[in-house]
Amino acid sequence: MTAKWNERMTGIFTGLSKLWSATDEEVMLRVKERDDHQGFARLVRRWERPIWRLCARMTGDAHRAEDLKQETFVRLFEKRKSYQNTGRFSTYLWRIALNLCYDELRRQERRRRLFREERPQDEEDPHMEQAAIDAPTPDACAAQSEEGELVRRALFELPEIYRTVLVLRHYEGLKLAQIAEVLEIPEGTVNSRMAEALTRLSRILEPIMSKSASKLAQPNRFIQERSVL
Amino acid sequence: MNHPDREEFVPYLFGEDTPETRRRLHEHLGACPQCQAEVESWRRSLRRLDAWRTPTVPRPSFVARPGLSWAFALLTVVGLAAFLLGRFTSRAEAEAKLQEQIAARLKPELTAELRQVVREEVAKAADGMLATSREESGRVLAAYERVVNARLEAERMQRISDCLALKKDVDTIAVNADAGLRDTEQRLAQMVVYRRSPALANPLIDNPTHH
Repeated sequence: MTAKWNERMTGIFTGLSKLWSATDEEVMLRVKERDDHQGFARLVRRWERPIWRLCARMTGDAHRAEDLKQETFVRLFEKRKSYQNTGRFSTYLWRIALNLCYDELRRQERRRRLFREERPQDEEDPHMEQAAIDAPTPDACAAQSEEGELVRRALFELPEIYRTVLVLRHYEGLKLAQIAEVLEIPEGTVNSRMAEALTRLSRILEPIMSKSASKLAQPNRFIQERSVL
Repeated sequence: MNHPDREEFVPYLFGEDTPETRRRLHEHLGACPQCQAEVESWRRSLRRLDAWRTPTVPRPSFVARPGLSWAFALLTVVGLAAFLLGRFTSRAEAEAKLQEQIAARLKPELTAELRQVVREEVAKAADGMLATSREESGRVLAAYERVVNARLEAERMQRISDCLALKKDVDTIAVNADAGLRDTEQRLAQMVVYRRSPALANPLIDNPTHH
């Protein structure tokens, strides 16, 4: 039984099983009104992988993504009494996860600033800190090619607001209208952020993709200005 | 040449635009190398995004999935496959007649037996899946319960600590107030003694009728 066959069959059965199972919104309402623990566990099983993927893409850290995923579901459970069935459950869940990712990114930024303050002598070599931060995580090394690492770095050159729309559309497959719901912004804003994200990403990737793999060890010469959100 | 806003190409790129908009933008791209180049560079960047793969987490095999709904899903697929097979298989007319006769004779017995078998199999599968589901649910909930309880405990300890600090502050204020009051008392007593001293008696004040 190959992994691909397993994946395909799981997809088919997931789709068919939805004919007989309650929707996420119905299950969440049962969790809210009756503390339906089995229902909550079902929601966790259904959504833990997509949420983990989102957190891994947004933070670039698979281990931290595991913590953030757990935190997402803890928060969902804690706030169950205030759940309003006014939109899709998935939109509500994506929003919780994204906010946690943003908090994590701010913590990482604060740690970087602290690092700079504690080691002012390294200001002479600003690339040292950048290289340490840009160094791939151990699972990044194991899991991906050199091209994958270049793409990861390029994505993390983008400000959060642009990276978010790219991750939600390309990796998580949300439609543009759904992204607008999750981020609570107009669809036009999603489109303009996406256009800017793709333009910046192309500007970063086009030159470096044609270089050799040895460029990975050097500081990134194509770092654009950082937007502070 | 009038170029569309670049944001308009985003739904076009992802196939989420209307047919009319798609036609208009497609025509423009055919005539505008600049816009065509930009959209192509976006497409290349999107393809390159697939190079970044996250570590894979093994998913449970579909046969281990809990839930009665999976049993029904399995039945649906089996039923659909049997229907399609029966529907499109071609056979000679004589064979069809013969099979009809056999089916008519055996159908009542087979139907009852098949029903019983299906009932038993579904019940067995459902029991097994529900047991697995309950166990898994229990594990997941226990984990979350531990996290939530730890949080509540931490909050409780924080509240106790805050109350103790407040009590300490109140005690300090009480002690200081007490000291202040004693001090004031002493000064008042001293003033009374001072006022009563004969050396300091002022006939004008102490005995106004004297003069």
